[in-house]
Amino acid sequence: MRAGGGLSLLGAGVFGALVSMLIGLPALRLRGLYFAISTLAAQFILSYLFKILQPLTNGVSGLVVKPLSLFGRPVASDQEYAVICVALLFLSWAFIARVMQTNVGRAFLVVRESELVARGMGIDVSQTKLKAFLLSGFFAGLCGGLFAFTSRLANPEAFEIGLSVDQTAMIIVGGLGSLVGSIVGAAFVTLLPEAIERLGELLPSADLVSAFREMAFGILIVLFLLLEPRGLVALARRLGTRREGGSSATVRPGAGVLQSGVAVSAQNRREV
Amino acid sequence: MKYLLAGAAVAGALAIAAPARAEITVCAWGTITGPDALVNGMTYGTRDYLEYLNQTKGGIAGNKIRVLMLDGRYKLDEELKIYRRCADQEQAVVINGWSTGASKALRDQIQEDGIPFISESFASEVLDPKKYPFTFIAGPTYEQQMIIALRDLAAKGGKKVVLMFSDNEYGRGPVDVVRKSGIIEKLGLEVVDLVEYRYDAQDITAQMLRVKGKNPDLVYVQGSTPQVLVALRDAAKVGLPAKLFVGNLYNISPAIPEQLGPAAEGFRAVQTYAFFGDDIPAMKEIQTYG
Repeated sequence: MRAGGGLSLLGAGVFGALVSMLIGLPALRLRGLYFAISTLAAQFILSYLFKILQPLTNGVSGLVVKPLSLFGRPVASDQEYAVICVALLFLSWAFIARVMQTNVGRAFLVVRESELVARGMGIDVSQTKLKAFLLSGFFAGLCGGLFAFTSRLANPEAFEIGLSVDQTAMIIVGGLGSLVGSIVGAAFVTLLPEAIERLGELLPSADLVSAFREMAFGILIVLFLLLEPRGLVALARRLGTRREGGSSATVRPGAGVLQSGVAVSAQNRREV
Repeated sequence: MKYLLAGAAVAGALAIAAPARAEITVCAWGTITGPDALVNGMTYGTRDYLEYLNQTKGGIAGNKIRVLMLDGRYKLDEELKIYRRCADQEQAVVINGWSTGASKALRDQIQEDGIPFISESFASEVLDPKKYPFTFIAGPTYEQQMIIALRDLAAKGGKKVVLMFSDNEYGRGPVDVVRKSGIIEKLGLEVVDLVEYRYDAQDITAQMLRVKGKNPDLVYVQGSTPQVLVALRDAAKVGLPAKLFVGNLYNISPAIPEQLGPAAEGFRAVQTYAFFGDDIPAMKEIQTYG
């Protein structure tokens, strides 16, 4: 920690990328549902390892983390942490937005829509997936580092299946395949339970509201999947077009391409 | 306008005349929801007592108490978040926290903040008057309760002990401390098996079969009421009598006989407080208030 907190954050990111590559190498040989299940299995195995590797991880007690120090000065308040987190968020956002404009970024999109089409276009699918793994792993590691500094405890209990469900919910609620959506979704999924709880404290029966908080979350995801699978961003866009006079001509030119890609890939899958 | 001015003048005069009565904020988080919600009575009890002080005695020295009851959901990150809120935003004068994991993770932070912290965890690892002067526990620790049960077995001539515990800090911590202290061997007892199970496990029949094979004289459960319910139910399934099992203070619960009936016959738990209805001064207060 003497080398400065910034370096340890970067280290967390690089380590996250390495670990996700290690998991990715065998898992990427699988496709679709099998791939998803194999990464899920990796989560359970890692969680178990964190619990039993006492000397390294301090088991279920977790490791107490010293406060982050930047430029030789410790970061003390939650407000300062918030500033750091938001700054890093915008840096990451700018970086990912830049990546999406390169060939690598476009390859990500094509592979997501259809591996068959990607192969046809001469894209190395497994290498593209591995790159996506590395990038995601890096940012996940960075987030983990920030989480450890703000909560000041790195323990396995914070990283169980519930967190993965939350993260999936963030993407679904925000809007799949949209950068703004992922941020909006994360803010929404994080703040909704807080808002419900604060509202509940004003009411006489705090215990009832607390139970409702869990339920609200599930109901919300079901509603989004049923009514607007493309999430809050698509919802906002739809409301925007309606206000502009109900014409659908205002849809951005790029938006249609992906959708037609989905249609093509759906057809392809049926034929294969 | 005239009325408004008059009103403002009256309000101002009142504000000067009456000394400012501050509200005292007390923060208590428990587990209103989550796998351990069955034993959240401890948090409800705290809230009810402080409300009782507000209603019958006008709070503390004329200052009303603001009780903030929050839901930690028995999740460590949630509890750490709540602690920060209680200490920073709510300016609580006393914080009543919940799980062993959280009390242990926060133990240094609590001393830094200097806010008295009453722990609902009774793990000896958070109890150290010199190192952690701001952490308080009302009664014997989990370790002492375990030793009470072990001494009882030794006095009755038993020998073989099975220790059961959940796979979190609450389960593992105290069992580790007692085993490392060497007191089990000193009492002439022998640990024949250690059974670790998930704290939200719904079926531990397999583990109970293993315990039955060891033929123990005592099975000590370092668990909460929901886990004891599962353990006793599955023990009955494989023919292990409930009278072999002993739990700690968190297993003094009407839910056990109510839900299990004959399967719980003979189950014992270490009681470190007075029973409800005992002849003690607090009981009279409860009865007059209720």
